[in-house]
Amino acid sequence: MSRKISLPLLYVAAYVVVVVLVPLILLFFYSLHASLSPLFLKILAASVEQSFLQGSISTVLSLGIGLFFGMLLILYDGKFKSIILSLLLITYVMPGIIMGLGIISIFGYSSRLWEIIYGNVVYNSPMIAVLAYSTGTSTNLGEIYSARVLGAGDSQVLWKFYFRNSLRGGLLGGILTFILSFEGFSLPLIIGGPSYSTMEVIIYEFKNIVPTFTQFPFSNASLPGILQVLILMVPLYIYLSIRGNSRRNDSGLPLPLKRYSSFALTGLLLFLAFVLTPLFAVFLKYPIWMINLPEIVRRLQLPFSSLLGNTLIFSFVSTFVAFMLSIIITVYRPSTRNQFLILIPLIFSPVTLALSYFLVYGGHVPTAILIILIFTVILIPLNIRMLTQAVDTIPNSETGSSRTLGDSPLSSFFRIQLPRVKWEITTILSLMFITVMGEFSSIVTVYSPSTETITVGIYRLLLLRDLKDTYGLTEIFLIVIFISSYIINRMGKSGSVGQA
Amino acid sequence: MVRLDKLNVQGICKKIGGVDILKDVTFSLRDKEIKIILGASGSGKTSILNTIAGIIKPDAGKILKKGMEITDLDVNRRNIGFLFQDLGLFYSMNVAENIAYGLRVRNLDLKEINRKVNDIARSFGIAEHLSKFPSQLSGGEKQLVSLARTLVTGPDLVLMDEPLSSLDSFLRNSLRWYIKDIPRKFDVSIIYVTHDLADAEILGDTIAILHEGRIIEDGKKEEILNHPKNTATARILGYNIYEKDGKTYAIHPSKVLIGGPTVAKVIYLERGIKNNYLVDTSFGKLYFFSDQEFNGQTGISLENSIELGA
Repeated sequence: MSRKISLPLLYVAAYVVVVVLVPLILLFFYSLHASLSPLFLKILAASVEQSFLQGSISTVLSLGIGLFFGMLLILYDGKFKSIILSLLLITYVMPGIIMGLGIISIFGYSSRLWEIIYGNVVYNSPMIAVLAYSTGTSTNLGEIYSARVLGAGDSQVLWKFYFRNSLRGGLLGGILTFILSFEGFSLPLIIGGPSYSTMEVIIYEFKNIVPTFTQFPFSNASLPGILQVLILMVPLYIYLSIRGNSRRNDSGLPLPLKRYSSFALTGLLLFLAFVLTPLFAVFLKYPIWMINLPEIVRRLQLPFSSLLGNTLIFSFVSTFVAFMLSIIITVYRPSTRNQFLILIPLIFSPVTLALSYFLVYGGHVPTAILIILIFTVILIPLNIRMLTQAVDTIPNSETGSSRTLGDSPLSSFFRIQLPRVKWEITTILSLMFITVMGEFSSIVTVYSPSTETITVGIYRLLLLRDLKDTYGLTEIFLIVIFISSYIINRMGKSGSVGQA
Repeated sequence: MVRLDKLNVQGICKKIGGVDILKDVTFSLRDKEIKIILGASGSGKTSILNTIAGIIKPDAGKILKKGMEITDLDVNRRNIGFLFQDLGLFYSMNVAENIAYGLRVRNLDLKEINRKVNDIARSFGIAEHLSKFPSQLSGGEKQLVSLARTLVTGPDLVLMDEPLSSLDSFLRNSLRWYIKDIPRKFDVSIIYVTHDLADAEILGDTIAILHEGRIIEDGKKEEILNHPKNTATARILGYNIYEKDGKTYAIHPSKVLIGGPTVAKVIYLERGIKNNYLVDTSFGKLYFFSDQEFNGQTGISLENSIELGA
């Protein structure tokens, strides 16, 4: 006897149709009408080559560096560990456009491949280090001490236990690095120039600069979009299949290789200097007191309140909507298969997503709504992953108890699970808010003057070659990000988020 | 008038990750009965409880409560209590809030909730702990809070998943008598899964033996404990198993008598509350315990052995 199809599966199916299938089908339909001129094919081939080249080199370098410093994170057992981890994650949430500006502030406008690679490595190696550290520290200390008792030396412990486990997280980060570098946008656009355009850049350019070739105006942007989706399906599938869990080791046993802690700290401080240089370079080159807001406004011909308002409103609304949808999806997630379907929007890169949503919904909804929709869809997979990981740390028996005592799934989530992961939720909200505030590639593809955000403003100033005001607006933006995340964290501390 | 069973489990099957966890599980439960499901680790004990509670859905089979099918009913609508192995206390709530939880989700009046919480806390001797958080309680107190929280909502049936396994033997003993009293005091039936024979002996009215996802024996406690019908049951119940003349026999270590025709050489003697012997016989190694001294000269009697089926 087989049981009936569950309601959650229907929700998931509806979500997949609206969010993924319809945009994908329309994108595919448009791509069939692309004008395949020799020039277009040459540009497309060059962009595919650049995407692979930048993706591969960045992955190899980031993986080597990230794994090494991930091991140092494991070896370091001092009081600065949480500060170092937080600082490392700064680069990961830093908008790509700011990374690009940081690199320009160090090397000037030079348009070299290795500068893009450098940016990708700075951007991704901390993430790999943190993931490697995360899976590395899940090593069972009981196993390590058993090996020690049986005669294993420091190098064997490091290699056979810690490194093997770190490799799991590191490889996961490596796949993610390949995907992010392959679909790189901000760095190739800002510092790469035409020779180093990736597929993501040419999608944007065919959409915004040369949109009309045939009766289907965006067909030449759609073709590389579809091609990119197809190429990235493989690494995305591998990534989703092997994504790892990190579990803190709470056996109470001391760390076995504690004696290398100070050596590890020295290495980690050097790593921090390496990854934070582009961020600080911006502030060093143009100190904060040189910001000239009236001049920035004059150059952009837009009131600053409009830029700031758009940035905050889009970020707030999309974070809130994505969070609420993610809660519903997290609560009703019955199987791994359904989780996979939910994470399917990850196959869209931000520019492809923006283009496909523009094709489907652009003519029917105001740009502001379109932007919020795009931001929400970008955030949901990220949000669900983090929320699921946080909720899964709560013993099943607690949720089981509340359900057998008569509570509904949603109510049980709010009453039992949410208060238990209050801190994690605060961090998730803060991360999502920062991520979406810094989102550049999707909004630059679809924005209109009335929906311009600060990141687009920064880009426009850069196009005007007005570096002083570009850096001024960038610094204002970083201050806004800092204040916003501080407020969200304060809300979390006072409990209003946890009790939402 | 036909008297309906409290619970009827009919042909439940469940496959997880391609492995058959439950195979055609069938049994029933009467009013105020305590049924022990006894099985080794990994035999599917917890999966049976999760299926009855509605936490996992069976692939096939039916579950009827008081004659009504509840197989597809949501977990929160079954009115079945569940005492998890790790108790599942809400660590973000104090004891009073933990106990009141099920009453609050039933939208009871605040006065009524307070009265019920205080009454049950008094009856379980935990009234002075109401404002404490679970992390401030001892293992035994946590058990009592979990029991109170489960029973305060008036479930028809309570499922218990080895709730005493993490306690010391003194606490385990005293809580067993608490649980023994529950069906009479609270008018509920209990399904209690364990691998601990002492739990089965003291608590059970009936015992079902679970082996590799299948109920292989089900019946009155005395019958199951004293007359296992097959090898798997005898092993789970701690019997010695040996073969003689092509037949398989089982004998409980307490039923081996000193003095008899079977020649036995002592391999180990460990003195404790009783004398524990491991002896070598022509049927293989046997374990028994006795108050008497045995040095291998008198032989042993296996006359209390039971012949087993397949």
